[in-house]
Amino acid sequence: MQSKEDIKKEKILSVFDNDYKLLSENGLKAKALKFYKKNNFPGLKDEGWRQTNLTPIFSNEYIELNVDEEIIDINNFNIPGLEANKLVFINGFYSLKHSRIISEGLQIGSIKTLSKEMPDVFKKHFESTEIHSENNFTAINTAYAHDGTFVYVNKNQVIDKPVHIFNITTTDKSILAQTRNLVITEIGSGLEIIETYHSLGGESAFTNVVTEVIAGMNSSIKWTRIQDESQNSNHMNHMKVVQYSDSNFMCNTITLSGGLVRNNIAVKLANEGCNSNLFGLYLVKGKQLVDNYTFIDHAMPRCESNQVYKGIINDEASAVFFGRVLVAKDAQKTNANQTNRNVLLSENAKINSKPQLEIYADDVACSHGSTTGQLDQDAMFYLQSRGIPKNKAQAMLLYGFVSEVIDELPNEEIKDYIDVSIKKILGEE
Amino acid sequence: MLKIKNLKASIEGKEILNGINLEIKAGEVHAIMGPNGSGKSTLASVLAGRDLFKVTAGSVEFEGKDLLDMSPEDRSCEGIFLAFQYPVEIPGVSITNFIKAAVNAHREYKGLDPMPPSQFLKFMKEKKALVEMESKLTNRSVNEGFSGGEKKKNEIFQLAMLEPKLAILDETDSGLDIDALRIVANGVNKLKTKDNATLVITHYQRLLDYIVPDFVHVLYNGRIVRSGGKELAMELEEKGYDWIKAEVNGVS
Ligand SMILES: Nc1ncnc2c1ncn2[C@@H]1O[C@H](COP(=O)(O)OP(=O)(O)OP(=O)(O)O)[C@@H](O)[C@H]1O
Ligand SMILES: [Mg+2]
Repeated sequence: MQSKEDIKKEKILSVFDNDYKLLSENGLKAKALKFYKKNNFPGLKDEGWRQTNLTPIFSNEYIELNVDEEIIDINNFNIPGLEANKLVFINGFYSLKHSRIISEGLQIGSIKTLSKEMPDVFKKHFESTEIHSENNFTAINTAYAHDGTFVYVNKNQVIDKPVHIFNITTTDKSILAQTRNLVITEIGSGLEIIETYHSLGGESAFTNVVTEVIAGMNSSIKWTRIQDESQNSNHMNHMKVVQYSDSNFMCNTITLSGGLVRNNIAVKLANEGCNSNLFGLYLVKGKQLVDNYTFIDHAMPRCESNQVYKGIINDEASAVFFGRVLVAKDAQKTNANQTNRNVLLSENAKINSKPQLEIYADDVACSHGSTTGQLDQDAMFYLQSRGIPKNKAQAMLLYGFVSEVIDELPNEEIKDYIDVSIKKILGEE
Repeated sequence: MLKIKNLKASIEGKEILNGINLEIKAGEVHAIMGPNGSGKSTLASVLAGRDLFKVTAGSVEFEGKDLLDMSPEDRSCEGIFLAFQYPVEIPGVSITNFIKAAVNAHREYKGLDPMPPSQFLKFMKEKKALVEMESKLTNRSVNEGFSGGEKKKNEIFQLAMLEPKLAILDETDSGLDIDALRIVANGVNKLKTKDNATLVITHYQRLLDYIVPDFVHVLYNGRIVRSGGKELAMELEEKGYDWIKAEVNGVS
């Protein structure tokens, strides 16, 4: 008889057409599938997943669907005023029609296509982080991703315009969309990426994303991920970053909406002098669950990491923050800071916050903190006593609370876009 | 303008205001003095509408309307302004945005459109000059990291922006250096007209040298135990409160 876990695995596996050629050439697909069959999906008994009920993911019958790209109006998802290189994925499939590269000499495109055009680079870096063996979500993605983004930035090349990756799920059926991204910045190069996730139908799509980032010596990557999907959607996101000497990596994870959202970011500081900044902002309401899991591996000396995650949780929604910072024995002169702050707006809102520092070096400066509270009533009264109505006062305070994260966003267009979106959600405008 | 009758208020079952009677007319300046913990700030908070305090008896009429029935924001729009003894810090909300929201809330209450941005900036510049507030301060988050004096100046700046009928100044002089005290007091005086009124809460005569009161009241144990002219303040400065306390405690 099949176990419950086997049924889950079979259910997800059966969605995919076995003919994908993406990874089969180097035997990685077989390797990933072997891992998938051997292991179960993570569950409430597994460390790092104890607060994350994944049932919604497994309670749908998914399909994969390559739709006619004509039906999508990409302008609905543009960030106003942002001039960007655009890559568009609809249900995980690359949309050539909607994509547009404007920067000169930028090697970027569908990972399916580019992996064949640049086989050496691809082979060198793809799965170099062994991300398939994280868990069954990353394994099934490695075996059957529909497509994804491949970016290769040459030595000392600084890309003038950001790359905006659109991920859209369509229709009223339960879509399973898997994208797989690989980003490599060579020595001294610079790149800005914005990923946005949208869903058109109200049905419970499942988006399963895996991203590998290799940040070369002294390179700089600014990454912004904006999740704005329907209340029924499921979103699983795994990102693994390897940073070499003196590189700078920044990732802003902004969750505006979604049903079940889990973001995993693991950063390995593999050489000295790296700087890593992870910022997050989540606005959770209804019955949503937003879960951020971060892991920063300070493997080498003289690196700095900063994490600031802030959340506003309303109704019966819940949020999880699990942040692990590991400072290895040799990682002297490490500077690591981590904060998670939450505001609960209702009695039934829940937060589970667990910042965690593991330090094996002795000459380090590390801090972590977590706070959770209601709105500051003295501040509310202060605003009201100046004539500002209660709901507007609340929105202003909440906006003030999250503005620290918005201020960190890498360009004005994104700041404005998030500003407007958040004010709309908070009812400030 | 303001008629307080037998006002009683408590917090967590503890009675703090014990039957306050006070009437303030347009054009008048009243000062309230009194020992620490006597209920001065509580009275100010109750008038501004802080629901932390429960009004258990009495009434407050403001311009003919029942004040106690109104939300804090409506009281503000009707013309009550409280300059706080301890202004709170509000991270992430700039003074400019905050005061713009306040000014426009007042305008909306009066059925007016929001103030055009250029007019607003001009208006703000004018009022900042009045209290000699440093220009860059308004770009910072409300009171965050402000010095004691800057916080108090910011209160009077807001007072100037909102042009209330009744200004309640709760120990606005504490934390101000001598120059700042003069600037702030002059600011308050410049805003004075025959149609508005001021209630000054203070411990010190020196503020009353600038903002000269028509009446001085002594609040003790939640009650106004003595009222007089400005010479009462001088008497208190000289003799302290013991004689009043003795009188009150002797009588009751
Ligand atoms: N939030 C509160 N919770 C409990 N007790 C309070 C609260 N606020 C005020 N009180 C009490 O009410 C009494 C009056 O306080 P209030 O602040 O009104 O005094 P005050 O006259 O303004 O004193 P001061 O001159 O020191 O400013 C004090 O005993 C104080 O401890
Ligand atoms: Mg007081």
